[in-house]
Amino acid sequence: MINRFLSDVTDGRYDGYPELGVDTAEMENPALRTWAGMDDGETGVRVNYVHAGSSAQGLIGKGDVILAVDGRTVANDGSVSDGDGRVPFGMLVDRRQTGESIPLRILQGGTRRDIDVPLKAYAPGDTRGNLYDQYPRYYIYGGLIFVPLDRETLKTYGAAWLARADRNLIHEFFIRPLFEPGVQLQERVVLLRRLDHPVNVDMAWFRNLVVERINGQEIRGMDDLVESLENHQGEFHLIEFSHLGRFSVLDRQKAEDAHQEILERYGIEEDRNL
Amino acid sequence: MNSKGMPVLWFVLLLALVLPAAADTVVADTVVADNDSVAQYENSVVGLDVTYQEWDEDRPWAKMIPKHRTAAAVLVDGAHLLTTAQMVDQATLIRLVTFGRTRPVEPRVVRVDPDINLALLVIEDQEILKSLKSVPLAESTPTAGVLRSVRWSGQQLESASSRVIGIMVERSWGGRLDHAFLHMRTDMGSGGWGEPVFANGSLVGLTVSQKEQRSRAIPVELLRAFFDRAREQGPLAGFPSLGLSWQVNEDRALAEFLGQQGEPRGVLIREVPWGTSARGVLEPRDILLELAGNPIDSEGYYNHPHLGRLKFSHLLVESYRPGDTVEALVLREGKELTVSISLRTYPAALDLIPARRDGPPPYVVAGGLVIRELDLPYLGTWGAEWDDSAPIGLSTRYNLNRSGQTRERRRYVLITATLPAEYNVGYQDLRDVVIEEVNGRPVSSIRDVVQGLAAPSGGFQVFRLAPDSGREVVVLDAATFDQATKEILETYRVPEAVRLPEEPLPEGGGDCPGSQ
Repeated sequence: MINRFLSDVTDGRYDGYPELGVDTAEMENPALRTWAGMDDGETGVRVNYVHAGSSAQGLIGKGDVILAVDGRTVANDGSVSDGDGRVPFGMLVDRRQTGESIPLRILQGGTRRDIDVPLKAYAPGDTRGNLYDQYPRYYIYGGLIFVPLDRETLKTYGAAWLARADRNLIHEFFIRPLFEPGVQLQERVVLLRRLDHPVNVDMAWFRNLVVERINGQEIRGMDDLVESLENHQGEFHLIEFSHLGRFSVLDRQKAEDAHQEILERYGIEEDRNL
Repeated sequence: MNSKGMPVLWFVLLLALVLPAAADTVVADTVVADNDSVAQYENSVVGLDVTYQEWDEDRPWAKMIPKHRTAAAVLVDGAHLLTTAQMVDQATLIRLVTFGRTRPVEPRVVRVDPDINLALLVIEDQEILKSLKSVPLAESTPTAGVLRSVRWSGQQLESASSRVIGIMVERSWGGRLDHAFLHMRTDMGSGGWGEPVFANGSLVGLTVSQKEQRSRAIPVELLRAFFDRAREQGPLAGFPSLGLSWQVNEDRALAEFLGQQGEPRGVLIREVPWGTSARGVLEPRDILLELAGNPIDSEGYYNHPHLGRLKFSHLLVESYRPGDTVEALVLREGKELTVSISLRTYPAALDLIPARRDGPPPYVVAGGLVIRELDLPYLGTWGAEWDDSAPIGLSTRYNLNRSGQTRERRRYVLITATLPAEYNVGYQDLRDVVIEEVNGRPVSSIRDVVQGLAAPSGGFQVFRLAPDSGREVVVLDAATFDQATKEILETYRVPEAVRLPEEPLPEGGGDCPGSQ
């Protein structure tokens, strides 16, 4: 692992681990293997999910069976032999650098294929992974604090954030992309909290909510959010959240008039870091 | 799964609660008026010795060890006893206690309405009846003053003063009705087990819960409404409910945005679930201004003629019956309009994730896969704090979509566990995953699982799971399925492979008659 890191940084930049980008399930049950079209004695794991924008996208599909990786047979539990022991097949991918490729043998639509998968780092890694040395991004409007939905936001819940973070946000971050793979490639925006002021204090919804639309426009990132709030000319801002028909409204003129005062009252120097 | 021990703890707690608490007995009560002596109630208040047995929600074919509770009941009309539905829930034996002694008499349960949480029983033993006397129902529930809570404690008639705190509209035990509860500060220890509450010789309430000294009772207005329905012929008429979700309308910007001028009033409708009275009549983002001529304020309160300010949902429960029509004034897109709503009950069974207050858990054991519907009793196996401790896939389904039943999806059906066997090798770690299809048949309720299994596809039983399951399919061999299931049932002592719900799911009916 240390050698791999040193080799990664020889060009002066750390690219990180490449990811194949598939979620797989074990195939210990013989009926499952027969159903999937495998021969007696053939082993492998079945692909449940292909991450949008990953190395595997376009090459491997849901329902494919991964039979071998880098020339080594994948067992029904997903392991491959490695020296004296066995390791999960993903380890063989981890040992490569991005830009390299890895040979796979897969069973796809009844045909056994040998494919070569060019490896890249995981595209949504910026929001899915840990971030270092980056000042957190945020945007404040009318006392409402918006942040991107990323791992750093969730980690503000402390060391046990996985258990303690708001469950709605955990669901949005980990579970919803499984149902709607597209959302994983979009940056999603959370209304994190409110700096109380008469312009916003009666809002029914203001905490830990994923913003779906503002003034009818889909919000697919912090830029969309800023644009739709700052360019809207109507009397009110309509902010719609995911699930349960929840929405809030801000009086645009009052919010803009109060903006500076709210920042001063709460000792905040900048209304944004984008 | 670490809090599965909770039910045992709860049981111990219950035991502690039902033990007679002599120290708490209030002997004299000078606050109550002289004409309200305790002795006048001794022939009217009885006890019920109830043995009950809950289902083991993890092993839905089995029952837990029998438990015991002591409930109070009150004789209201010749031979009829009123108590709460909770007190006779899952009963295996009910014995009558008169004058503090258990008699060889089993009152018969005539009617139970889990939605309103009341039960009517009848005493058929004429000898016992000679010693008893029924008590009249009061005209209305007092909103102030000191009342009397009465029960038998050993052979002592125990009376405690209960000072009225107020009348509050809250969710009923059945999970689907919001109605008024009488809140009292009581001197009674460990009450809340159906003790009748009296004032001036009349019944004014039946207690349903107590936390420390704060006691909660169903007010007499609803006792009477249930009692009237319970004595009618034919199926028990329930209580109507709009069944919608709403929020307060206190945000002036939002009210103005919806076209309301001046001080916000009325409540904002958020969702109108499938199958409810208001479906197709009221719409999300309507502001409900008046119901049956009663103005509703921005927090949802109306003015009850006797009980004061109450949340508006109580209005229908007390004064209307299913089939009645009620008019509502709404603000929609800036214009006021009057709509007419034909009222129905909103049985908990119309929730996608229901409270299931009646009947055993339906299940299927298929090739060792334990399959059941997701409901509140199952979530309860993670303990009182299940919202934090249940798997996130289940708790978020509940939090985001519990009332989201549709014609296409009436229940979430789960594989909760696998009874390990050679036949189902590889699936033994499956826990609490949602089934989407069985052999290509979409699964809307557990009946679809049974029907799907009857038509295997190409020699296999194929279960397609929801995307958050960590596995897309579970495939079992169809040729050996029946034999394998039979052997697994024997090994694990499961009496039957299938238990379907006793009643078909209620008809959601879609939109309300008269809707646009």
